[in-house]
Amino acid sequence: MNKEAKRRNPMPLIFAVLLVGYTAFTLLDAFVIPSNVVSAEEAFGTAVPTTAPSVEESTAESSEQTPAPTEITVTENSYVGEGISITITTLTRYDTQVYVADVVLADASYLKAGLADGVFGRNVSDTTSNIAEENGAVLAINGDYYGFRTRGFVVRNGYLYRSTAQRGSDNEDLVIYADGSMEVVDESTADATALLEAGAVHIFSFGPGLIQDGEITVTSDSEVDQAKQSNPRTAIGIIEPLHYVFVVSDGRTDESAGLTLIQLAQVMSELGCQTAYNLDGGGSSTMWFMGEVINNPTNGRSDGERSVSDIIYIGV
Amino acid sequence: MTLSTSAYKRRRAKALKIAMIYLGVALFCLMFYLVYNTFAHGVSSPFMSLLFLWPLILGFLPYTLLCIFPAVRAPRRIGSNLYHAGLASLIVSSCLRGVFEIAGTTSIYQALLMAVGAVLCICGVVAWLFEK
Repeated sequence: MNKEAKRRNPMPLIFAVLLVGYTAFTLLDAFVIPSNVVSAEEAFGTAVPTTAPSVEESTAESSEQTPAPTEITVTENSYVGEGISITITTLTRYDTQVYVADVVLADASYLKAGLADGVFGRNVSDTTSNIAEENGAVLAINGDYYGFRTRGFVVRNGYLYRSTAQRGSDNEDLVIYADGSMEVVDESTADATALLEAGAVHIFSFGPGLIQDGEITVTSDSEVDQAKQSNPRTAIGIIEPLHYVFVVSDGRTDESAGLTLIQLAQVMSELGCQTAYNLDGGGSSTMWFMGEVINNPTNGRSDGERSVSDIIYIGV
Repeated sequence: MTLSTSAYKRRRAKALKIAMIYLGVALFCLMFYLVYNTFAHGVSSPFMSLLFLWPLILGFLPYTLLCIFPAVRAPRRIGSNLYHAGLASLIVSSCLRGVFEIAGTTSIYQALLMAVGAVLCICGVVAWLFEK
C-alpha cells in the first residue's frame, strides 16, 4: 500500500460537517426561522386593525351610531353585551374535561381571526393569550397553526394569504362566510380565490371536518393513527345561524385522557352542531376568556401554553 | 488477475467491517425510532419507522455480499466516498422527513437532500462499475 493510500481520507469528515450543518439549517428553517412574513397592509394595501377598540371605546363609538347604549354584563363564566353572548361550561366526557363556550352573536363580524404579531408568516408565533389580548378579544381559541406548514389555504378576516393546497386528497378546510355560516370543503378540489369571491372571510386548513349537515363525518375505523389517539383537542361548530360553540378539551394528563376525533365529533354532535371542524390540537389547544386561560394546556411533558400562529376570537 | 488468499482475506475483512458499521447504524436508527415514537403522541411516519431499512438494505446487505464474494472488487476511494455520502444523505433526509411528517410540516430542503443522496449513491455505483 503506497503512502497516498495510507494518507487519511479527509472527504468523510468534510462531508459529515456539511451534512450536520445542512441538517441543522433544515431544522431551523422548518421550526424556528420566520419566513414569508407579510402584514395585511403590505400585502393588500389596507391596514387590518391589530388592536380592536376596547369595550369602553367601542361602546362610545356605537352609542353614536345606535340610539340605545348596550350594557355589558360579565361574570366568571359569561359575557353578555355588545351583540355578544358567551356562556362557558365544563363537561366531563370520556374521562376528559371538555370546555364549551356557547356563543351567540348579533352579527357575524364579531367572529374574527387574529395572527401572531399581526402578520402572516411561517414560524411567526405567539401564545393564544397574547394574540387575544393584542386583538382586544373577549373569547379566543387557537386556530389551525397555518405557520407550521408551507401549504394549505389561509384566509383571515377576508384576506387571502395562501392559496396553495396541501398535498393529498383528504384535506378538509373550514370556510366561514361573511354571513357567519360555515362549510367544510375538500381542499384538493376547492379554489381559495373562488371561495373568497363567494364570500369567505376565514378559511382554516387543518381538519378533518367532524360534522356536516348534522351528521358525524369521521369514524374510528377510517381515521389515521393520529386521530385514534386521545389528545387535547380544539374544535369549532355552528348550531344555528350566528350560534356557535368553541370547544377545547384537556388531555395527556392524569385527570384528562383527551379525546379521539370520533369522541370529539360525538361531543360536538351532543351540543347540537350542524357543522363542526377540528382545529390544531395537542399542546396548541387553548381556550382564553376575559384575560384567563380556561383549560389546562399541556404537551404531555410540560404545562403551559404553546405558541401558535393564529387564533379565532370573539371581539367587538 | 488472480488474487492471493491473503488479499481475499483483506477484502473480506474490510467489507465485513463496513457491513458491521451499517448494521450498527441500522440498529441505531431502530432505537432512534422507538425512542422518538414514545414522544410522538401516536403519530407515526413510515420514513421514521422504516428508517433502519436504508442502512440495512443499501449498506449492510451489499457489503455482506462483498464479504461473501471477495472476488468481487469493492469500490475504491471515489466510488466508496460517493456511495457512503449518498447513503448518509438518504438516511438523514428520511429521518428529517419522518420528523416533519410527525410534526405536520414539510421542507423543501429535506426533499433536496434526499434527491442529492440518491444522485450520490447512483454516482457511487457508476464510479464502482467503471473504476479500474
